[in-house]
Amino acid sequence: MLSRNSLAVCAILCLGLAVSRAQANNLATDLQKGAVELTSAGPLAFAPEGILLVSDPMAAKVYAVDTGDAAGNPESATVDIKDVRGKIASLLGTETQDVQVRDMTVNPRSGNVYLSVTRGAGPDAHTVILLVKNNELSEFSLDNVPHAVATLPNPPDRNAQRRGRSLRAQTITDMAYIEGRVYIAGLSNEEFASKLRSIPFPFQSTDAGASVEVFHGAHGGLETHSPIMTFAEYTIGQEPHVLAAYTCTPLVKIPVADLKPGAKVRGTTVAELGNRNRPLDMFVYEQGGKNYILMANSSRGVMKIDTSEVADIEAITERVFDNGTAGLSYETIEDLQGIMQLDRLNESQAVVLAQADDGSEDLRTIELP
Amino acid sequence: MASILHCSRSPRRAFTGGFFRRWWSAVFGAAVLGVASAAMAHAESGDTPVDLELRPRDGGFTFVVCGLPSHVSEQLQNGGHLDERCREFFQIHVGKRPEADRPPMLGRYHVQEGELAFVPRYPLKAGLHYSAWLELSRILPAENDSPWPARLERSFEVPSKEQGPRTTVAAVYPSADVLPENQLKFYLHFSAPVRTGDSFRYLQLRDAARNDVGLPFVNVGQELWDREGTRLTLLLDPGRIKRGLKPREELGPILEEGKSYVLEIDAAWRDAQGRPLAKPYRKAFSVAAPDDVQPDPHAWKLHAPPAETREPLRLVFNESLDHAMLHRVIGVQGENGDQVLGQVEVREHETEWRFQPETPWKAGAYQVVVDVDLEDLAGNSIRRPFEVDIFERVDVAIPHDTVALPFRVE
Repeated sequence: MLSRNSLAVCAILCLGLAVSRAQANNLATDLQKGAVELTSAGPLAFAPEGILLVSDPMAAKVYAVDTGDAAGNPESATVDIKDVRGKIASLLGTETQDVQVRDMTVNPRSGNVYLSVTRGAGPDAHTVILLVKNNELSEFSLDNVPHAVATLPNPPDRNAQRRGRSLRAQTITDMAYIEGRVYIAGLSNEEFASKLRSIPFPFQSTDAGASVEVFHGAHGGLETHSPIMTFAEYTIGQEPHVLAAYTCTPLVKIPVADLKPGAKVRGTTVAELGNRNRPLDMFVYEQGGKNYILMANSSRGVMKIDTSEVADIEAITERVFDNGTAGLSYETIEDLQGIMQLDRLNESQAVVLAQADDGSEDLRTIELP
Repeated sequence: MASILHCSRSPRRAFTGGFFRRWWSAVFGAAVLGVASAAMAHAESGDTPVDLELRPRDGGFTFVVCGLPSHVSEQLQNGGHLDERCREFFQIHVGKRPEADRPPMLGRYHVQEGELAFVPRYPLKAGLHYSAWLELSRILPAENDSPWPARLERSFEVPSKEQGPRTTVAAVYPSADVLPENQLKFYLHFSAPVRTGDSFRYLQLRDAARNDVGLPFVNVGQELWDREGTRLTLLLDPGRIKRGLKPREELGPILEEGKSYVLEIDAAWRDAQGRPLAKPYRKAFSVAAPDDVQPDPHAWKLHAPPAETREPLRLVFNESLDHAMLHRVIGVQGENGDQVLGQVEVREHETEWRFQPETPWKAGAYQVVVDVDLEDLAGNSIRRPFEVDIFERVDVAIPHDTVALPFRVE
């Protein structure tokens, strides 16, 4: 029989658990309403509960914005906007060539699509987040939204006082929410050091996160400097991993548990997907009881990569001959041409941003191959 | 097509009859439209016609419906949901004519001093055409002999900005004409902001026979611009620089010792105003042996300036270093650790760093502080060489983030 003290301790513990669970279930609690002013457009990603992560690479900031976008059903959502870049230009009052779509992401709760867009160039450029809902484009206003911000540390400029604003800027190649942290891959426009940074979420002013250097084997040598182009979470057994794709095109698995502050991590190359190529975007999905990666590439089309062997596959450390591929098997989806961005919409569909032969860009829904 | 249009008179305020009120109410479903009287429409014909105008305002432009009867503008103002209602009958589009499949421009509607105005969300672009249409029949239903058309459509051209000098490539660094085989970066400086997003279309690396060197640059999707849009960092593919890596073994090195190359920047590249560059740019260079040696601050020559002068402190390196980082990562501290303010100048093909203080040097002890991330042309930093197996050679890593070079001013 439990003593009264034990019961009290138990009650307190249970209360504590309940409170922490409530907090864990409400990531928006700490967000403050106000204006988010973006200086540049970078990758987007969704954290749970409809919280949109918006990166501002030039300002070295990541914003977490509560979209309040819970209505809608990803299972029934469809997107089909021809010449979306031209239509965005019309919406923003300018010419098509003045508009760049930097990233696209789907809100998994609603099936609505978010785009980060740049209008113009230089100091007069504007950064806009657009919402595609019911196949209509509109601005997702950041004028007064519940949000929090994390600032990525910038190295000091020893002569900034005299020189004015530093020319150094950050570029973010990809960003994702994994297991309570926001992971950010990027590199600077000056010193050449490719890092994967992780910031605990919800953001805390006392913890700006930590950076990790990720290396991967490449037939005897170690690739130390290539930036991660795109990455996704992948659970192997019970253990969360990052699957990261680099230019020319190794796919590397890294246990999330290894991504400790200041660590130098050796990732394992599980696939070589061919040269003269740059991975553009990827996500993981399940089909027929098996897991796959759908990956868009700059010159090797869209690949459906079978990850059945990812847990046990031998690391690729030798030179890859033939057509330059090895490791996990994949098929190239011939029907999907010109895909620049992709994100999963539901169990059986994805949304893609695709470039047509005439250079125009379409946003459309595809069936998962 | 008009340039900037102006209504002939100030907004109409005189007519207050129930006739227009009924029309207006019908537009918003508040009342049943009465049958319009031709006689009353004729009564309006002498008034200022309703028209569309593009009017400079607060440094930008506003589209204005002028000449509206005052009670119409009052009802608009007081009816609520102005943006939603007005979007139905008054829209602005890019181009001389609205295209059916293109959405109208974002913006807000206002009623001010009896006029309905559309304020674009983003500034209009100089030199572009914009079209505005107003379904007058939605607010002033047309009759057989009414003085206004059912629909007004106007096109406007936004005046071009004063055209300054054409944008040029101001400089390319490294400035030397002999570069190591494992050259890592180029910095392209432009005299004004240029268009971003498709920069690689305008860049070619060619060998002496003018053959393209295939895929020499790293394209990470996001281009490596500074905040002002005037400096682009161009990375050569490190996978083809570092020996033993797959891309280099399959595709070969980008640059080869003993050969000559030209980095060409196409004049078709548009600046932020949409104008092509004034002229193409060619950066010709020859290639020397790869550089695998880290920069060593203790091997640099430091020339201390005399006291009570503003003569520059000079640091002379034994190789060219990274132009951008030289401006950022080297500073001067006084005896008490305070930063000395001054102007940095990088000279002699990035082999010399000069620092001129804002106020004359005082006699005493100083130190130059150098971040160990400072790189040479091949990406070797003071911290570590570009090609290193970090797991096998962690012992060579420098534990500190800076190196201090003490000196005295006498």
